[in-house]
Amino acid sequence: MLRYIVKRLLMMIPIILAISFIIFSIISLTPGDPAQLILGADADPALLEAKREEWGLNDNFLVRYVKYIGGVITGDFGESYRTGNSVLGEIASRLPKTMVIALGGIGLSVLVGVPLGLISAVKQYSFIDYFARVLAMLLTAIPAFWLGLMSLLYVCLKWRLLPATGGESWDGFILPILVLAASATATQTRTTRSAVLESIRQDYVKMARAKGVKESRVIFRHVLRNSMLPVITIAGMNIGVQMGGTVVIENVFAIAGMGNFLVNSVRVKDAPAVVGTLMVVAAFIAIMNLVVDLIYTVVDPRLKTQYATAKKRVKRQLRTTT
Amino acid sequence: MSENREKLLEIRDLSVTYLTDDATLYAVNGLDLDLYRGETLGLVGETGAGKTTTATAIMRLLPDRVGKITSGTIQFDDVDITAASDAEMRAIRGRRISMIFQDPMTCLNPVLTVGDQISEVLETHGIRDKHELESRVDEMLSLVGIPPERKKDYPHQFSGGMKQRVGIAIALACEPELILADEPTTALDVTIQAQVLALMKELREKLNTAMLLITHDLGVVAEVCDSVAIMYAGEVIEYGSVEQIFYNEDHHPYTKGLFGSIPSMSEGQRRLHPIDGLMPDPSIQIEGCAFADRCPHATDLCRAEKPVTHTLEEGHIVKCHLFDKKEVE
Amino acid sequence: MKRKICFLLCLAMLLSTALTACGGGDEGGSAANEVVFAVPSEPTTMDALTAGERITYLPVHAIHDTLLYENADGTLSGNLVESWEMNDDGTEYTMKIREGVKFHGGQDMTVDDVVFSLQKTVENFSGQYGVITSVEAVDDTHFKFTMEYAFSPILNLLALTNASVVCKETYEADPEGYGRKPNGTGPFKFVEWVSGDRIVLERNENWWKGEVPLEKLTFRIIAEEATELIALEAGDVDAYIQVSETNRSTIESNPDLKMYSTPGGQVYTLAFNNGTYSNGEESIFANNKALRQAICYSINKEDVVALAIDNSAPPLYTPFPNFIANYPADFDGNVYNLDEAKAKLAEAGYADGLTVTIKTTTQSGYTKPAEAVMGQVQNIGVTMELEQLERGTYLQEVYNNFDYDCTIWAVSCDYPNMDSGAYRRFYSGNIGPANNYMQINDPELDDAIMTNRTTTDAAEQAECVLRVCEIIRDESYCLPLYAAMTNLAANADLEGVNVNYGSVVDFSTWSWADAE
Repeated sequence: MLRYIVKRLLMMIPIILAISFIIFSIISLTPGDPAQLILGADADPALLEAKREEWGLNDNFLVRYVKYIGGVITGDFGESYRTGNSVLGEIASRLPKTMVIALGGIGLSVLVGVPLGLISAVKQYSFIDYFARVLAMLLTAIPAFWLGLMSLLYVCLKWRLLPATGGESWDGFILPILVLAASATATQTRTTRSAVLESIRQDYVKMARAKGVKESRVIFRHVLRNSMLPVITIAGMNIGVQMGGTVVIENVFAIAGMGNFLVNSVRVKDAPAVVGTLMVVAAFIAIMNLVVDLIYTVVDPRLKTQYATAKKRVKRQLRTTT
Repeated sequence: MSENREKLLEIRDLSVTYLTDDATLYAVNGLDLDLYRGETLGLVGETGAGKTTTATAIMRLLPDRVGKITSGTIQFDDVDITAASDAEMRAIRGRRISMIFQDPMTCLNPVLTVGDQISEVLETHGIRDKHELESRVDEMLSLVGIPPERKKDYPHQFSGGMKQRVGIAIALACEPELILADEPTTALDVTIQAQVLALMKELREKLNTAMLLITHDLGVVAEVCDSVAIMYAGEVIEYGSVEQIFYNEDHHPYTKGLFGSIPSMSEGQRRLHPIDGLMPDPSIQIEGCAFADRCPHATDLCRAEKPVTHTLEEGHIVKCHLFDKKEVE
Repeated sequence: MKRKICFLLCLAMLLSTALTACGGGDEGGSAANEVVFAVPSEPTTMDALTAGERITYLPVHAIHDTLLYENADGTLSGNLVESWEMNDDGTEYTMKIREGVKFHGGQDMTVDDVVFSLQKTVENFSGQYGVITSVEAVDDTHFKFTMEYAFSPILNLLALTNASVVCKETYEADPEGYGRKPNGTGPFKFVEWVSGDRIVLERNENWWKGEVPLEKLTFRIIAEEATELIALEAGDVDAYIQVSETNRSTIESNPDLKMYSTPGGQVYTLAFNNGTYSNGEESIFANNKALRQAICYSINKEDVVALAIDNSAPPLYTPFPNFIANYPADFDGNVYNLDEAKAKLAEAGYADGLTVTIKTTTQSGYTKPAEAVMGQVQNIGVTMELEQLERGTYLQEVYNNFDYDCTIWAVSCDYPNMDSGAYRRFYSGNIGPANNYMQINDPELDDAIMTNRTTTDAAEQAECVLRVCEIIRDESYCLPLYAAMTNLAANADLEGVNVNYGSVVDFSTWSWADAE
């Protein structure tokens, strides 16, 4: 198992390098001058040229990339053109904020969506089922931007329950988490519902009932655990994606998170910031994938054998033949 | 067959329907069945005859809104199954009546160990003490020929035959009075089939459990059963002891057809002799005899009126108009 | 068991990130003597000697003092410079610096700091200040600077934020870092900058000018205007700038809020490319006066103003806003005449119509007037196709490389003198990237502009202004449309609120009505 984990982590490296090259190319080769975008459209040419020199923008693109990657390998992700701060420092200050929103939102979506989907499936065609499905449809259709602004308007302005801008105190995170959870819950409800519906039709469920097991125990012990795989997959993937994906929410609630940083950096073609941030996001997603795969083995023992070494696998196979 | 037979299961005029969005399916139509303690009754019929539905109905495990017992009674010993409460049924399932499923590959929960799944039925029916559970599980595994150390393994680590044995172990764990075995060897290959059948015979003798063995394989019936009930389109059309069914002269035309369609090991045959036609569409309720369309001896009476039960000999009954006159004699 | 551990781990992770994320935890809104000011984008630096954008100037101006001070009526007073003397031909100024001024770091302001700062400003902003050829200290309290020629608006330039005084010692110790750790003399001193979130300033207790009413000034970065407005209405934020006209009625009808509007210094202009593209090909409007006139005559500015800015400001018939010195009040710049426009179009050879592309950025401040203009020129059979470009692409294509035919941009006046806009944008010597991007090359225009720069005679200056207006109108090098209002929305309880045409705010006068 440990070897498997190490293998996966090592595999991440070429992937992230490839990503860094692609992003660096896009940022560098698209039109727009970072110096002019950052210092101002009317900035003095001498000042602009000085900055361009400082940032090495006059070098050949490949030379710049090699220099950049050379730095990255030694742990130096460079400084953001726009803020002048170290890219890693910027990421470090913004990552927690986005993490709170992502983890909180996805976590909440699992806490609400899974039970809702479960009930919806177990009591198929009942009122709760219809309610849950309509709710899921609504939440998917409502854009986060609108939901965010509406919640600001009512919760912050009309009812004065929470601060309008997030990021300063813990209660500033409540609305962003709720808005993210809204659409994530919809997905989670639907996923759980279909997974449970499928599980519930399985023969082993009938078998459990034939043993005289109480229905509630049938649901929790037999149905639920077998339905968890797609739920875990989606939740895990989602957390990774949201590391760069909470842009709209961060924009509406004025939270200085990763998404916000990424967008502002892309706008001014701040190459070190964009490439550095995306590499971190990519690493995060890759790690989340690994974590999800590891959780699989805990939930579904069938998958453990996949990760065993060949030797062990052959030994096991020998055992199973009668 | 022993003389002092005690009736364990009596089914009278059982009808079961499935209500789907598209149609109503009349799966079981006026079924009568008797099963005695310690006896193995083979329930034979083609696919779609309603055999599994019957077993499911006995367990009261018909799908929630879709399956309904529309008429009839099922009397199991002292319990009226058709009228029993959910709690009463749960106490019966696994404890007094248990079921062995057809497809061993899918009837075990893949994420629980085999040991857990066996002890589950024990826990459900009162055994809580950890040590007792353990020893019981070990006992059951040994009984079905699986080394007890394997109780920590997961179903996917077993072959098909071994999985079915686990299923048997689960069914027998609480020493039930009646086992409903739904085509337990159909999904297995022939050599394993022989092993499993031998095991079942052995256990039945040890524990004196009654068994309703659902099968479409007459060979299995000959091996294992004491009596046979032939099912067609949701009702029993012939019933008797194994000797009566296999050796007597007079049979329901369907039974004759079944035996006739078995390929012979001794003679050379160029073609098989299946029964012409198909089982009737279960969504249609038929007026007369359900077999009339396929029966070579069908008359207008057959098509118009439902046949009644005729006793050919003691213990051997048939539901067919051909024997109307015979009984009169 | 395993699952319980997993769950607890996740919970712990969530809590710990939450706690690290909300460090700081200060409350927004008017706590005690504090103002939270929302800005839509993050300032790029606190360095007055390199700052270049309006939003950036806001905190920079609060941290530093300029050499001279521009009053609300456009006149100039001394600031860090107490008094000055000009030599006879107007090429040299000797100035006396104010004594007893201290930097936030405790250092005394000396003439060396002043000379250093001004030299840097001249270096970094050679386009505006390049006329200054040397700056040197005369004695401990005086310095002088010499100019290439007698440039009359120079004093206005010394009142701009870029002409602030920084602490030489601090700056030289770390020039790159000064932008994040400034040391000025202004009414507020820098406390902290939480990247992407806010910039916090504190009252300068030793401000030479006197007491500053506010204790704390926080700039909060809120990108979405809807959020800014809601925060303002909820009291989480006390003021914000760059209020769009669509929100005017909401703010004005709210008794807790007040809208401050002043005619802005940015003249939104329909600009023609009067020269060649980067590949040497001529633009369709180059050397085609008739075509330019055709377009200009077909545009009804009243309609444009209605469509683009909701009539919040009047149409402009001069290339400059009306508060510049020597503004020709009686000037008739209205050339709207559809018949003549059609005639001119035929004269140019496009009697059957013409399709031309108009490029803008994606900001509605530019796309709206573009759309209004497009609607107008349709009346003479000209089809304008709008091509919206991402800002970086726009600057590169239009602003730097002149790969466009026409566009909507602004000609800005940073100080109340025609020179501010005209020299940069109309003077042929300044044809180049980000300068005279319209590639206007007119010797008469040049003459008027240069004369205005060098003469001290007010009557002559007035004549120059008039001439520039006439030439632009007659030659139709570009078409000024309107000067949008500069808006600031604030809590009605705030007093001393101000904003000028250049979006410069003097926070030293701000105070709360109920504070003693």
